[in-house]
Amino acid sequence: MSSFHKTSDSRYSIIGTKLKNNLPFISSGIPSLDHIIGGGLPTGALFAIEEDVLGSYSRVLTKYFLAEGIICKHALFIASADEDPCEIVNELPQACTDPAIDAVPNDRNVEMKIAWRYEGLGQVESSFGSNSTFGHNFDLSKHIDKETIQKSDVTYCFLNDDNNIEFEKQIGFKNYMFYKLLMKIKDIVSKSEFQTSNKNKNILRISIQSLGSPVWMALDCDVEPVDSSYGQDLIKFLYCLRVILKDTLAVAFITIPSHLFDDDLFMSRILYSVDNAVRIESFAGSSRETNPVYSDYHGLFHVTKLSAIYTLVPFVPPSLDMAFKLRRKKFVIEKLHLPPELQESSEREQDDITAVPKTVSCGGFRKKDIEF
Amino acid sequence: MSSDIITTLEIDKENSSSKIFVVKEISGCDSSFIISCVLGHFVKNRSAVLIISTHNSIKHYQNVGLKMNYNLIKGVDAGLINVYDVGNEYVDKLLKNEHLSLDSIFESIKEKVEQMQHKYDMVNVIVDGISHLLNMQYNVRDVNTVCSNIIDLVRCYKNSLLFLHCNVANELDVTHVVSNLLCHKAHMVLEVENLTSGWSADVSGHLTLKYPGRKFEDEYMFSMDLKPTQYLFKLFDRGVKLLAPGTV
Repeated sequence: MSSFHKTSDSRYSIIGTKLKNNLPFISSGIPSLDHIIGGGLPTGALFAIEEDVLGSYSRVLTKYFLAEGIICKHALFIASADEDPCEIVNELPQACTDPAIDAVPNDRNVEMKIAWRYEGLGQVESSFGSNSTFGHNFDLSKHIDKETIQKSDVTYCFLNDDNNIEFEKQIGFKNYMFYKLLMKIKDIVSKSEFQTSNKNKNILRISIQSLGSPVWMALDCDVEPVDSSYGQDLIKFLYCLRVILKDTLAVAFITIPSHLFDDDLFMSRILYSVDNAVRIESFAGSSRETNPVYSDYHGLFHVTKLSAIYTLVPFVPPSLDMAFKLRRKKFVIEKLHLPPELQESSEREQDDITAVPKTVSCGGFRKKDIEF
Repeated sequence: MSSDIITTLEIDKENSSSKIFVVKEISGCDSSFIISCVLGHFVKNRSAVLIISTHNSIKHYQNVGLKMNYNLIKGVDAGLINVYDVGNEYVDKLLKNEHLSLDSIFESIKEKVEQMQHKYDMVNVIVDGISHLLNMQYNVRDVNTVCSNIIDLVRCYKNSLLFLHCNVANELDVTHVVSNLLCHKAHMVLEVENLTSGWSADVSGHLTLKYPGRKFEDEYMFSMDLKPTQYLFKLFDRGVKLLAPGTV
């Protein structure tokens, strides 16, 4: 027996966390997302999602994040200015009870005999995080019952309600909502259970939905023409939030509707204060929805920023071309592949009047040009 | 593994005058590895440092330092390293509905440097995120003034070094203006940039060194065209390796 033992650090034995670089990481509720950002969301950090145009997929990601928190008995703080946070909680998905269903196709693959020349090659992993045991998969058709949520430690913060007289006298921000939210977060984060030095520790999952939506930015747009002060409150808020969360056991999960911003370059300022960021580009409503190339997917997934916290080396994602699809029981992020063959075509290209010409060239015509 | 950076910056040589280094982070690249390397050099040579922190926490530098074989907290306990967390002070004041002026920030910095000066001959200063001062809604003029004051403060002391880290969000932004203003006052400018083609497992990014301060040195007095030096850098857990372009 070896006399050398690795001592496990009992300080971080919080449920639903894993230790990496001496820092606890939590799951986002989507194993494939955890995989592409380096094993999960680091505590004491900000994670931003640039919303898709309709905001439907970013909303689903928020639900996964919160549902994972409920399962792991983490504390939740939900803030929104657009809709009542209590309603967000009502539709949290339930964890899949039988993960074995997903494992069946893999078993079949193992039984298949592989030609000798391909045996030495590594397994191609187009679907990320499928073998991960960290985090859960959720069934969007089933909701967590209200009793479980009531028993959980959930704090709601609806910013657009009417009890704001005490906050309107502040001098830090043009829009009092930023100040109100900061105050509430500071109050909850300063609790001893969310400090790294405490013995009875827990994780605080902070979800802020649609930060920077027209409700937040209305005052910035009042000034005509829109001057350099546009979005300054938002930049300042995110920096302050970064400072408040630093070295605590809280994780902020923020969705930002960046497509609504007046200034395209504004997002690059925001990203400096954020630790990790991704962008969702949904096909819904765009011409790509009907494009056969993307028929297997619901949208593209971009990783825009990955920070190295407590280490020098930032995580390098396995691929930069990623797409996602939303199934009932899974949100999957995959390496973007073209389908094996798009569609059947006739042997001679010039005979195929249904084929779309690659580029506009001499003599090229499109199907839509034929009127009868 | 930090020797590449230390040699390139020439901070291992004895200098009679103080030097200003400006680090420009372009296209979202993180330059904190330079701070970690430089801190390691200071700790090992027992040089006093004041870290003015706005971006990363001291815990971050401590954890990185442990992997690079030095203990920052021991230095803090010994008084060799002093940390001034501007971000924390700013947010505390903001939530109390009070305003923290840049003048009072500078006064605190000056006080800390002077205190350390009593004990150590030279005091090095590291500012890890000048651009966050703009995020705190201070204007370009005030930020430029406070940086000039810090530069003047460090120049008073012989052989002291000042590192100013500045993030450039994009070329049309105020962060770009501030970084350019600082570059004019620098002895050496380090531009750290991500690979334009995306991430790579072999190389972490580009490092370009420019020498605006050399035109005042005797050796380079008559050379009109001071060419920048370009490197590729690769980050490891325990340090950084610099590579010549084309050698990967």
